[in-house]
Amino acid sequence: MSVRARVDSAGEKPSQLEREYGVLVDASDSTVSPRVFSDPGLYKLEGERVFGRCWLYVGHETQVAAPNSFITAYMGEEGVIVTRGRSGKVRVFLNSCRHRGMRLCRLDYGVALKFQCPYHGWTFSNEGKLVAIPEFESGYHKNIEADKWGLIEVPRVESYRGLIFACYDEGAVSLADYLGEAKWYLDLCFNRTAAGMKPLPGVAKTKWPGNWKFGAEQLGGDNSHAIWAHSFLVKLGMVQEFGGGDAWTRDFQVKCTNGHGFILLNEDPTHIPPALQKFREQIKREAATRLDPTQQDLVDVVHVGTVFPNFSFIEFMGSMFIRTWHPRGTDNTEMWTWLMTEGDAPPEVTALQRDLTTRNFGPAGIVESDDSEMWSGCSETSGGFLRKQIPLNYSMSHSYGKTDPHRPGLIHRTPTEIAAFGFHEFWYSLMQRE
Amino acid sequence: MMSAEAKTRGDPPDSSELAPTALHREIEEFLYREAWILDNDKLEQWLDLFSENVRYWAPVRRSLPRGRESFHDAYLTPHFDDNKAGLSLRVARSRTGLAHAEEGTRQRRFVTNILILEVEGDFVRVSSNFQVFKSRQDEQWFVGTREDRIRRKPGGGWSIEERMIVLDHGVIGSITTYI
Repeated sequence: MSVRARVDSAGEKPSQLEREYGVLVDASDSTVSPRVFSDPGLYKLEGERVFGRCWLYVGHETQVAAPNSFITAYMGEEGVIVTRGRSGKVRVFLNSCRHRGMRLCRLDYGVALKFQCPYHGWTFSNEGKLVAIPEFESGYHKNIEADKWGLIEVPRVESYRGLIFACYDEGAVSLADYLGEAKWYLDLCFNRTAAGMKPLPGVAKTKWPGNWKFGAEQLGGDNSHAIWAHSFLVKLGMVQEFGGGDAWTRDFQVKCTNGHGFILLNEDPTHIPPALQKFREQIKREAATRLDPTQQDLVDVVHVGTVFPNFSFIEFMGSMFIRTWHPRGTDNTEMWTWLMTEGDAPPEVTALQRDLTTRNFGPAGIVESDDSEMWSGCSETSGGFLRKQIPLNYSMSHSYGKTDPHRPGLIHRTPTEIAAFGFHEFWYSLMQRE
Repeated sequence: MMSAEAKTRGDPPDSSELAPTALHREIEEFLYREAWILDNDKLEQWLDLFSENVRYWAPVRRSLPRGRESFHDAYLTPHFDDNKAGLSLRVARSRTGLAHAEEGTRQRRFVTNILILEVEGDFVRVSSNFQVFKSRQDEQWFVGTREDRIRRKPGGGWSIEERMIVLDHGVIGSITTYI
């Protein structure tokens, strides 16, 4: 199929991007060009127009609860330091000295009043202020304005239910507005108890050779792969533990505005370990005081989702994790995964959740391993001279989504691809906007 | 045996306190044989090497100031943390032929630096380094050390009671758990 230009019904001209690449994400037939996953020019542009504009997850409030504590993270390809300085406010700075750009901090986390560059000793406070340069008198003749050479600060930092997001775009809408319809679904996991969710110590950092969007789109909008990619579950008789609920109300996907997507699946409670079942009853009681009636009915189901662009989570039969997908080139992704537990869970429940999540979704997760294999395999072909010219099919239940007065977003029973396509639709809108 | 001081410091055993050579040879043979069993895909035989109460696990690594990293923090995220049932499930999964990350891979294990840390009755603590090569179209290497607690079985032979696998990677690819 040849590249074609499209002028929409309002008579607007195609964007500069569309003139150059043709239609990359086509809403008329729900197709996506493989170039979205493989083209180096698009990757570079994505760094600016997607990662440069969207709210990106950087860490959890509990990880920087102590005064002067910090964690290091990534926003796209840029390393950042997330720190709670003496003012008590969480701030995010580029992890890069102002002098020659040297990486300031190579630790995963800690407590620090200052960050000192190992190259020439420039020293910054944990509020980003340049507080010392060794050659201030001898070399600079005291003639350097410290105020102008502090750490580069990421302008926007906001939290939602303990999840800290940051944004490079000073003029971006608030995090709450950006999340929009997604908040209702995030609350099913992150706002059902006062104690909330929190990450366990350590972060599993893994990599796979493929484009990050294959992972992000799957957790935002793909349930139908489960019995195929994870077909060993079928063979071992493990698959009847989920699904099979009332379609539309307990087995459905949601496409939200701004590219967010969620999957909810019925769970068979007999497959939940008893200690966890008991704790869940406690959760449900508490949720009844915090969530609306429709939400309350959806607390004890499988929850999967992606907050566009690169924050995802899964709660599955007792497993619970959150994750960011870090782009490392068109065909390389670094995945950071945090195991989660309820904030006030008794030790045996936390231990159980750690166990379940690790078995299924850890770096050697019996479910996880198959997924990264698929994502790599799709990436592998997406740059081929011929393959990249022929669109990928995202048309499952295209145009069959419905709205519901009790649940936000566009809904379709599982199986569907409306949210996976929604991810790319939003991506494309950002990419076209100059 | 190690002096209490040396043990606290975390030193390797003093050369004058080395375990008898015959024991070392036996343990070495046991570990080489395990590697051969895995290289040759004899997963059921491999399972039999482990005690029914085994803990088989690998902590994730953390970049912290030297000396601050501990593997024994409560609830520390692991790469994997299995009991015997967990190991059996992994083997069952491999046997379905549908473990897509593993099917068709060639694997080769190298076990080296075998050191007896402590002997106490029938129990021996052993440290060994490893490299595991895994290849299909791509090639992956996994590097680290293992600390095993193994027990001499009454009828002869050895049983692995606990294995802690310390992988040295900060960011890790698609690992095999058969290490």
